Amino acid sequence: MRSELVPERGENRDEGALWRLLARRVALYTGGDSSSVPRALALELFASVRFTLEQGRGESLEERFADGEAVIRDKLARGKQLWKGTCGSLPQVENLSLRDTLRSIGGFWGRYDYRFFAHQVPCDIDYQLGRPVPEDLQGIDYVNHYLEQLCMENRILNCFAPQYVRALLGAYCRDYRGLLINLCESVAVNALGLALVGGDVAKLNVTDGERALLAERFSREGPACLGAAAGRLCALLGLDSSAVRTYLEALADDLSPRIRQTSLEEIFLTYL
Amino acid sequence: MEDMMPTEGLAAGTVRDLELCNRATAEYGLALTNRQMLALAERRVQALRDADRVEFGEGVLKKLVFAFRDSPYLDQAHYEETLTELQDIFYFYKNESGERLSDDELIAHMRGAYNGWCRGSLEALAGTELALLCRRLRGWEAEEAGDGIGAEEGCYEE
Repeated sequence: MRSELVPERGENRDEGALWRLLARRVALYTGGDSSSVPRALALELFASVRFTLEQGRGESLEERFADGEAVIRDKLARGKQLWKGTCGSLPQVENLSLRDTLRSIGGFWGRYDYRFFAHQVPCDIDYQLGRPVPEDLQGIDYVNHYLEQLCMENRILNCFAPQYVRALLGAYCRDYRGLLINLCESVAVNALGLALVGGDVAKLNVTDGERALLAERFSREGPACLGAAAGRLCALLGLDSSAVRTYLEALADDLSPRIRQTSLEEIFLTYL
Repeated sequence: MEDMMPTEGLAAGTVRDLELCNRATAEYGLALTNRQMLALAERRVQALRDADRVEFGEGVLKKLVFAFRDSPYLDQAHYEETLTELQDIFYFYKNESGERLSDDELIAHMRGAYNGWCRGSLEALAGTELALLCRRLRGWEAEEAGDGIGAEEGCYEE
């Protein structure tokens, strides 16, 4: 720690400039009232500066930082639209954690302080996605990725009649409304299985006969063949999206070990 | 972040500040030797480390010198020792105040108490006055949050 910076020479130049930028952010944060801050706060402010710099482009750090802030503002605007869109297209299946998470994200837009804590996610995201958000994402990137994934999962769920979705989820977990479960995964898995063996995808109900067909396909071609049904399922559902297809393929890929080790009755579910 | 913290020249910068301070304290019969200045600069680093704080500005020594130079309780014999203590106390109570006091506010309070009822006692300043101040500030904060643990009536109300 020191009060002034060393002359900018050689490899110290970038670090010196970064330190000066951080010092300016700290001065702005404290309103110039305090020359020092707790280390924990300094680390948070530094993480925010680093996140913002990663967003932007420019010759100097100042340009990169200013551009980064502009990029974040654009992402915020897109995130708000995504959130509104997601709230407006929720599946007709009740789930407490989904509702609470969207409500909390609603508060994110007011609480998110991109000027000083751009890397933080000031809201509670409890609802589990079928495929989790990569842990290296931070701040608005994390929230937007989460909302994009959630939006896509809801698009998949909304392709099915709510009564069939509820029936299947009831077979998957009796308290699917109250527990922290993902609504889309079991629906997508059943739909993939049915698409693979030519069953009635719309009803989402895998019968004993269809499970036997699935077992035969898996023993002949291996569990990876489930991924090949992703394209067919997208066509059947009218979902012309490479992201949905990729999501379904990844889901099928994740299932491979379970298909090898677990009874198919526990993966491809039947509801009565 | 610590990896990119520039470390060279920290003491030199503080010493330069203190050299300028010597001119401003001459009329009060106060001066620091080079050895004392260097010791104070090194102590600053340790005080910040002890308080787990990071400093981006020029440090508070200069402000402390200007605030306390006319104190009737400060003499040349105890000048370095007093500045060292004041600097430690400052960083400690910056934390204790929960960042609710600006540098200038804390220094003004320290000065007022030191020259007032503390009568130049650093022990009274740190152990009683500032501890009480920070307790009031925290109480005020808790009262604002509505948890029922209130500050003394009328203290620090706007």
